[in-house]
Amino acid sequence: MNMNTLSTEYMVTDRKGTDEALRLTQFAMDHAGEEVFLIDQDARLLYVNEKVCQALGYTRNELLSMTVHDINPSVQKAAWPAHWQEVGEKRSFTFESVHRTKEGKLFPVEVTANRLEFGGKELNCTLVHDITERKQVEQALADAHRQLQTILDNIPDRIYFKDTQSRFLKLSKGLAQRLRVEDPAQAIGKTDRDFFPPESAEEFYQDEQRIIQTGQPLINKIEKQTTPGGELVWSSVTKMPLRDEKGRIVGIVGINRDITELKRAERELEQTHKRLVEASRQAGMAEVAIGVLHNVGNVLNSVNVSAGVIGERLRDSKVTGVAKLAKLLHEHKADVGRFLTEDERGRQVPTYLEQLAEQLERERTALCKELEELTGNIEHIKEIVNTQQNYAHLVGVTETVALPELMEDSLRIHSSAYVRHEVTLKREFDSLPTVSVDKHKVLQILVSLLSNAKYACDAGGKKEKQVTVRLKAGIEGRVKVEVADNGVGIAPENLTRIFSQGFTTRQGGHGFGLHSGALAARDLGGTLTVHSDGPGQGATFTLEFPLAPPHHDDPPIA
Amino acid sequence: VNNEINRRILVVDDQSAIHEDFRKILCPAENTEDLSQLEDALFGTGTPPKHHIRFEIDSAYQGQEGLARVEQAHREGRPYAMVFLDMRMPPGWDGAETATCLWEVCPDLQIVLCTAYTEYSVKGLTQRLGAGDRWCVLKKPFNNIEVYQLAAALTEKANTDNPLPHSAGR
Repeated sequence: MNMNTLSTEYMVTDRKGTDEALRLTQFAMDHAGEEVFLIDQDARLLYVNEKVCQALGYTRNELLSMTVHDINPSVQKAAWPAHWQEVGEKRSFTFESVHRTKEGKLFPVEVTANRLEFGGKELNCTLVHDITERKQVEQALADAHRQLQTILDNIPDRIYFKDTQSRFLKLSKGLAQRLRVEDPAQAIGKTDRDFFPPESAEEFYQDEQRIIQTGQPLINKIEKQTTPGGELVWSSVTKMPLRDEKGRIVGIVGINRDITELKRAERELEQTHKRLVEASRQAGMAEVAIGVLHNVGNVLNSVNVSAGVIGERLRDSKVTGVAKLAKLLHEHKADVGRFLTEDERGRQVPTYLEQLAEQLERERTALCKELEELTGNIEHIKEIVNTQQNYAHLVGVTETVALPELMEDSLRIHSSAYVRHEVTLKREFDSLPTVSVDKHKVLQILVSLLSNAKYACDAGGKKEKQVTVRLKAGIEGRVKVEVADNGVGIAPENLTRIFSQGFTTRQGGHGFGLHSGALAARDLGGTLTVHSDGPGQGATFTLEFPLAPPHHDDPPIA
Repeated sequence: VNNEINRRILVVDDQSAIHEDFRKILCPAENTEDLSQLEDALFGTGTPPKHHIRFEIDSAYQGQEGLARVEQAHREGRPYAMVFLDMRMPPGWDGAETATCLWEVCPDLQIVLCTAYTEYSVKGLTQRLGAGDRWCVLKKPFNNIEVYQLAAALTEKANTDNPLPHSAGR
């Protein structure tokens, strides 16, 4: 605003025109967008415009009876003369200060004080505007800067800003440590070539140049790096283009996260998994072996007892009486007739012979029976051992088998246990083509399922324990083997847990059976699933697999 | 006097074949006394008839059932002199667990723990059952003579420790 020009222009017109011009000037001052004060040497407010009234919440009359000290708490009375003098010397100067509203609220202001001389009197024409918003922006900027600095100083991740020549502009303490410089500032202006082996630095540089040229970020690249300290580490690297306010790419910003520990943990996890798989395989085999040993052990006890009984019977046999009788008759061979008819002892010989014959017949029958049992038990042991040997040889070998035969083999391992536990076995076999399969795995699963079914029946407490085994055709060249029991059943919440490792509801169970069974089923390209309507409702386990093994070159366990 | 001795034995095992084995050893069906008398009269050899103690055997197939039998026998005043107890009897209590329960009813009951497995060490069993003279271990497969002698000796011991009321004045 140039009041002088305005007034001069209007002054050359008439008096009326001059009044008009003054009123216009007054009006403009009163309604200007900036706060305008006229202040005298004693800090009294001589004039304020509308804007001042709005900003401070006073009426104009109130303000005209006040001094600068009433609205600006930062200007003390004692300091006023110095301020007055300073404005006088500089004629005009700008500074930041604080104003207080009628309600006592403080707000930041920018003040421009101008010294005027009017009618031989000095006064300050002071222009003021509220800079609350500007202050907030400045504060936000400072906060953002401090936040960024906090991140750069404390986050272990390595964060860096680089220019288009891949020179460091700013970097985190984490990176400074990795670069082996004490202060991040020492790396500014340098490049990776100053710290890393040439081939690594070149790789970083190429990546960054590609980002700068294409604007495409690099997200989570896994890098195996050699640190300046010579250590091998794994990093997850993310680099993005750094743009100026017009969107032009002026460099890159990157974050490297150390994932060496993660990699190590992954490797350990993988190894642990492998060991567990191996352990569950062995446990599956152990299940077979325990079944075999248990059965052999029991049968062996009966064999032992039978052998003992036979020995004892032979030792105590009355057959020795024959020899004694022969000797007695020999002694009387001269008068056998008289001895047998008239002698007190001789007359008892026919009765004795009769009873002896009966006794020897009884002994013979008993011995035959005992021997039969003994032979039967030995046969049983041979069968158990043969079955085990068959499968011990065939681990991992695919061959063509008839499923019913395989089923019978698994049942044989459990036959004595089923008889002992009075479990009725029902077979429902559909006629199926032969399958090409790893027999050992199928056997391992079936043995485990049959063992579980027996325990489930025992725990179910039903009078008529029953296990049904079924062979069925599945869809698209697949087969289903079902083992259904009417035992204790499975609570819904356990239906999935039942296949997890270490889960068992059985005292002394190791929780490996179903777990390794499920793994073996997967190896066969099949599945092992369970259905149960709940506790007390029995359970049906279904092993489903293809007639021929899946064609894949992957190792069987992923 | 022998006839008054309590020779009642309880066999607790989940396998019926084992019960058969015990019966074969402890209760041979043979009665050859008549024939032996005739032999004596005829040959005068004076071979004494082989003395076989007559044991009375009861069967239980689970630990819980064994406990019920012991309780019943105790109530009826005709307690068992001893028990042959299998270690492994799925799905119920194992031998050691059963033994503990049996002793709550009859603290002096003689118990022979039968085991086919090395998983039960005598040391481990001692920790569970205490030392004492109430139990011993018999390994399966067992020997007939061992079983017979254990039965003979332990029933005898039980009667010395705890004479039956009607033979108290012995």
